Amino acid sequence: MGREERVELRCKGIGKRFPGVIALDGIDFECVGGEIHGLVGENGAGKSTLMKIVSGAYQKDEGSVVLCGKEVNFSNTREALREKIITLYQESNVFEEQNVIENIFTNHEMRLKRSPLTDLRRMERATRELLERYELEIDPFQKVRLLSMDEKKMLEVLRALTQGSKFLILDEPTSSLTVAQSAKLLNFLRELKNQNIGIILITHNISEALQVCDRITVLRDGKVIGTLNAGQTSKEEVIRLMIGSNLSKAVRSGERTFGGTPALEVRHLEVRNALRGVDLRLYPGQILGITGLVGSGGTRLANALFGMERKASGEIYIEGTRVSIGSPRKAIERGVAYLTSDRKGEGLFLTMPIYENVTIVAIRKMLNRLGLVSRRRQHAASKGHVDSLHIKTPSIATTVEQLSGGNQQKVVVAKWLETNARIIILEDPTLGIDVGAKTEILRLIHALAQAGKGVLLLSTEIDELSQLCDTVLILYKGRIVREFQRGHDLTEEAILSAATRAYS
Amino acid sequence: MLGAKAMPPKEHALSTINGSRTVTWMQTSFNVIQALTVFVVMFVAMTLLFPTFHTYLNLTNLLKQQVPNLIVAIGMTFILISAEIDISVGGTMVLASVLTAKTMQAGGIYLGVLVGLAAGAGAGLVNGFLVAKGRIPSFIATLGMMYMTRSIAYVVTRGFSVPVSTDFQKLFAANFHDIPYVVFFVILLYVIAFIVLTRTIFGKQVYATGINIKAAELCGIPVVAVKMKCFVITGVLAGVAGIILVSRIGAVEPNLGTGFEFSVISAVVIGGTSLFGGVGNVFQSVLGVFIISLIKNGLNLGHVNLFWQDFVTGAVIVVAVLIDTWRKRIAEVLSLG
Repeated sequence: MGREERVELRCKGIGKRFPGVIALDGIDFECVGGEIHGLVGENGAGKSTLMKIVSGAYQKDEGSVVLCGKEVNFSNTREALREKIITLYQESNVFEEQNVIENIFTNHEMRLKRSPLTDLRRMERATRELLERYELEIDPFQKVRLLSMDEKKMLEVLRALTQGSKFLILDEPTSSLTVAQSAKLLNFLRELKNQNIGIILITHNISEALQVCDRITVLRDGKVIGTLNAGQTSKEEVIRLMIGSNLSKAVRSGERTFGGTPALEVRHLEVRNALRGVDLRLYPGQILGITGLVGSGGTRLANALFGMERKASGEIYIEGTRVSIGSPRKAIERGVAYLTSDRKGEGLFLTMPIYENVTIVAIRKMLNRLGLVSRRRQHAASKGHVDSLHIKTPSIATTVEQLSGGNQQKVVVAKWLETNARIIILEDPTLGIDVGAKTEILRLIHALAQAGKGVLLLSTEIDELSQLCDTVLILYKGRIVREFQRGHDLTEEAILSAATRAYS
Repeated sequence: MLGAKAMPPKEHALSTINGSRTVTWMQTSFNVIQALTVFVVMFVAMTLLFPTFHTYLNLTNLLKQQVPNLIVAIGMTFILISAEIDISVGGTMVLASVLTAKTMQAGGIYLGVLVGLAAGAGAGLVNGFLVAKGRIPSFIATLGMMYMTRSIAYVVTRGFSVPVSTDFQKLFAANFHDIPYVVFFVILLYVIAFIVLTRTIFGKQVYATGINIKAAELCGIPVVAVKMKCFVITGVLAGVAGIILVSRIGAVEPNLGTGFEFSVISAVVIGGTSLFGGVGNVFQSVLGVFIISLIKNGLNLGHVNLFWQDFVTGAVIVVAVLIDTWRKRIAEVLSLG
């Protein structure tokens, strides 16, 4: 490489709409060769959507992307790949059963001259050179399955390098790494700077971004709030820019009290590879928030409480009685409801009408004297929920696939209300729901607690946790590491900073 | 959890509230209308084309021939709605009929019937166990059972034909104006099946399991038991069909009813029950069975070369599945146009 070519990527006024949601609104963003550019923001701020447009997975509605001086319009990821824009997704994308060399040269193998045969010797040499240059002590013939998570990530980066990557987009590369592994990976990324590659780092970990990036762009609600020089800013400033409530403050209308016998008590719950001794108490009328990094164990905790995962040890008490929950059926009988974050995949029967969805769990209540399901009862029950939850639909016979995300979520809520559940576990209840409907869903959750339900809210949305919850627990690697109480130390800043801090 | 994914709602353009209610209506009724139209058109066409078609004899014959298909189609409808498939029904039917005939020779009619039913239930239970508990894809599990049941039928008969007493043949021969009483029994089965599917908890669970098994599980629906029951119901019905078959033809051979399973599956799919689960009902399957039988009857009456008949049946199956696969798209286009 004689003279270095100019490597730069400029996005101007990028806009992207999804039905009912403006995901990106006039985004200006740039990244140049030799730079690590951090992209931070809360869930749903638009980080991933922006990068998906850059890498061709989505198509923009407005604006332009200019790559090294010429405007590009990728209609799929292959076209972006051809321009050497390579994205490494959160989940590692390696072939576990193949060795390091095979993984690095996947789909761009070196060939023997004028033959279709691969040149193993040359690939081995190239691999050894790479590993040496970056001081990685990995055997090229090692099965990748045996490598650690950070090594796998580095391997993906090496693959991108051998593909001649100009821009490397890393989506939360450290989310499943330990602190030591993250440090190693970040060091490795810094080594790449003199390669004239533009690196875009999507992250929620602000400390990490400050540590490794040259510039940081903060997104909120699909807009760029600012681009900062990493050397001239602070964690506090970045957090302040990230937050900025998009919810109306009137989520908690009317007061709430809680107490009495805990609706749910968990003592030293352990689940293999997930939870390492979790204790918690949830009272009727309380909203207990749990948050943490990806893979910190929130989902697994919910699964264990709902009988979908065997616990290794520990005790679960419901209303003071020790219980064993072996299946969702048992959990439901005990008065537990679980609204997973995957509404469409796990919560709804999309092609069924609303009244079938609402009554499917509490179907026994719908029987007439002959023991047959009474459509009249199904209708009456559904009608009540549609009215009280303000589900917007032309009719209760409408199939739920035709409803908006917010109304679908309300149907799921109605389904569990019909069971008279006393403990309600919600996981990211506003994921993919537009801002207006979000407030409504949050009010609904507040109302559930007011009605005496114990609500366990697993969420990654800090603003909704800080506004709704009485108590927020920070889960990290299967343990509860911090606890915040309303009226004491529960603030958005405190949660965000605790949730993203690397504990050692 | 934090910073997981900004998930854009993936609704397609149609899923706005206003104006698209017709899509649902079209999706469900499209199937019925489609099957009913095909049936009526074929019926009228054949009446016009073949003078012998509209004779009472031809029509009652058609009805009699379709009794086993009609019975097994009920079970197949349950199975397809639960998003599984059973290609062992032909084998199970033959095994049941062979065991019935064999047992009758020694132990009398009642024991024979009982053994036939037990064979059907047993085969269904094994299928259900392999699929629901063992989590083997149902196509493969029931493919294995198709071979095993037929093999046992050969072993038991050593390949020879087994006759039954004339007494037992009266079961099917008994009739009302040349319509066997068995036909009324079939109608009763359909009424029961309809009520079970649409009005009982079990029926609701079958649909829910077929539409979204993960959601069904999270709703506390015992999906393993639901699938198991569907297979056992189908097995028992295949047993019933086998017993009635023996009574009708007076003797059974183990090579009877080859291709029976596919003729039943295609009938159910032509009726509008989806191969992908969650959609369908038993009355549509009746239409499907008659459409297939009309096609065969038409080819016979039209003296079409016997060797071409399978070709036509095959083509009809492919078209039916094609429509099933593209059903949603077609319904959307229809409702927009």
